[in-house]
Amino acid sequence: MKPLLSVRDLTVEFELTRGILKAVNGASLEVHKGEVMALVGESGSGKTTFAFSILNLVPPPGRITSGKIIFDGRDVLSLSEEELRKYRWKEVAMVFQAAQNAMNPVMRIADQMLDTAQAHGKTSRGEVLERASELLRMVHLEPSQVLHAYPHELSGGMRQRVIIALSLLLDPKMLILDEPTTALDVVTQAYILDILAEIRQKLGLAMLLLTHDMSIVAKVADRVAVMYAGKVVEVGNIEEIFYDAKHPYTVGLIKAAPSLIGDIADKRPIPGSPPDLINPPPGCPFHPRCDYATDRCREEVPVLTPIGDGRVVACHNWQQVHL
Amino acid sequence: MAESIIELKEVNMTFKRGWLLRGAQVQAVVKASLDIKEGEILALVGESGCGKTTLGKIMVGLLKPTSGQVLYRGKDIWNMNRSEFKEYRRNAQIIHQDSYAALNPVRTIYQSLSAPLLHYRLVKNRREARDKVAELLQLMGLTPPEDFLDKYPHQLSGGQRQRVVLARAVSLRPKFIVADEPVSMIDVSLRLSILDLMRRLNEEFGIAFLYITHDLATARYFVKEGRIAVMYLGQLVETGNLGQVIGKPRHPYLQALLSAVPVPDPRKARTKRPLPLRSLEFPDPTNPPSGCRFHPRCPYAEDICAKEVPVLRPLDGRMIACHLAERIPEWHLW
Repeated sequence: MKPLLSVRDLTVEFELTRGILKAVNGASLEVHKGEVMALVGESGSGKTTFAFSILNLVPPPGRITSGKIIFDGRDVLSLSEEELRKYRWKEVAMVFQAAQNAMNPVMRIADQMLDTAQAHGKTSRGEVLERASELLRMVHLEPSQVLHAYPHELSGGMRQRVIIALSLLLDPKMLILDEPTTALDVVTQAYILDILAEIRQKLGLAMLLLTHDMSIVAKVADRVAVMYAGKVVEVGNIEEIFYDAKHPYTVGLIKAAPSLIGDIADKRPIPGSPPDLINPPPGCPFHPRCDYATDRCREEVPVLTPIGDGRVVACHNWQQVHL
Repeated sequence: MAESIIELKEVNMTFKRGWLLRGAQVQAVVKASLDIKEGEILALVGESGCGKTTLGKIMVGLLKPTSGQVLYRGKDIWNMNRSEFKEYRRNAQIIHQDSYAALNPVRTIYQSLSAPLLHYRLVKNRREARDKVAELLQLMGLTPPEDFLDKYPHQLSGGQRQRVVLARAVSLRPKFIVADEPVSMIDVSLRLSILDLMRRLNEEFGIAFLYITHDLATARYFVKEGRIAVMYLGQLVETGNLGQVIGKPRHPYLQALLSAVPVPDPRKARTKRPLPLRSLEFPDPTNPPSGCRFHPRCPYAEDICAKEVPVLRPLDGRMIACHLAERIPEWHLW
């Protein structure tokens, strides 16, 4: 089956006064129709820049210097401005980090919905509001109460649900969610994650969920891609990643995730700290923090290699790695 | 039983918003009673806006409660003389979530760390201060110290900065530290290392910790066999041994909170079902519900819950503030 999204060897560089920062450094990933793919990484791992690239929206001074992005058979990086305007939101929509705090404060929700639809060529007021109402119900909001409200009249959790409804307004095939629950309380977070699962059931769209939190991944993802220092270092399905991880960084992330259950003695931090992306370590970028590192790791950059069952891992010593 | 180092007795804290006569009032802490023993580790857990930070600030004397008492080693801190108060403030330190905001950006690490040492005359001169600061950095795992002494805060990573902030708190040889969300802005791979460091400071120097967090999982990691206090909208709702309280929560709010916490294990995560709440919306703190502040969201609430404020009372080896505690159905994570 052909993937819905295929990103190959993507590199995004930011030219800074200190030097060139490779936020994304040869990252590859495939997302299939209707699946929830979690893209996991710490701050600075490049996951947000990776997501911006999918929309061809990398903010300056960043630029995509190499790689290919194919979405549903189209080459995203060669689309014209006009084509991009149709591609964004209609094909791929994104819920940006902290978007619930970035709504226009002087516009009622209904007008924000209409504004979005009109900017993308959908003009029938009645149709747009009808679809908006359907989507608001899907995120468990009562349209009659919400459509005429201003953003400040809604709670943070309600605003985030409005944003999710808004992102779905043009029936995208894929939804990118960047840390969608980070600023929310635990109870609201659980509720929003349940709503996302329902939406996925009802609409069957693909989701790319960016997060640093392995607990959120465990709850919602079908497959998981782990990013480190601008590279995708492991991709597998949810069970493989959590119970049979093959990249030492994935293992580290699972062991560093505190939990309400299980033995606390099994938990430990990853030693060292994330690399400086302007002067990354030679060879595998994870080697200075890795228990399995050998001389080869210090010299040769490991490439993403298939290891069976659609799994890929970028580690010279993956056969020795176990949880 | 060890002596109490900090004890709160029916502490109330009301903030006035606005000015003149029209300002709304927020009662951020309602009749809170809590004590921390010498060398103890206690986690104070609650969602944002529940008053946990206010309670932490009251414990270190940064806020004076509207009523009630704060005792340090049995002595009311707001009735202390000047030198007693100064000694108490040296012994009770606080560190905050945002380590960048906590350090002066135009001062080097050495300058930031030597100032309190010189102020409290814990060192004789600058020469000695430099040695002492280097020793502190070493203790915090910032090695070699010479690499850090003359750096500015922006040159360090979040984890390193939080270690510097901890070094400054520890430099005065306190007996008690309030750590307010110390790891929530730190990379996930490094969070446990900061908690491990705090744990070591507790074990080696007997420093008592109040760990304030919204995250039950890090609370469990840090506190281990210690105690937890759970707060909701200004009220303490359940306190006790962490393992016991998390393993068998009795307060309906704690049950709901635990059912909402995700776990990093897909098989477990997908069989865990949230407890139905009657409402998801957090009430307006300027107009809180009467009686038990949780009652509008509580699936078990009865008439009495809207009328009377429940107080903490012993039950099943812990303290719980719920009128219906005996009748709340048992609840487990799975």
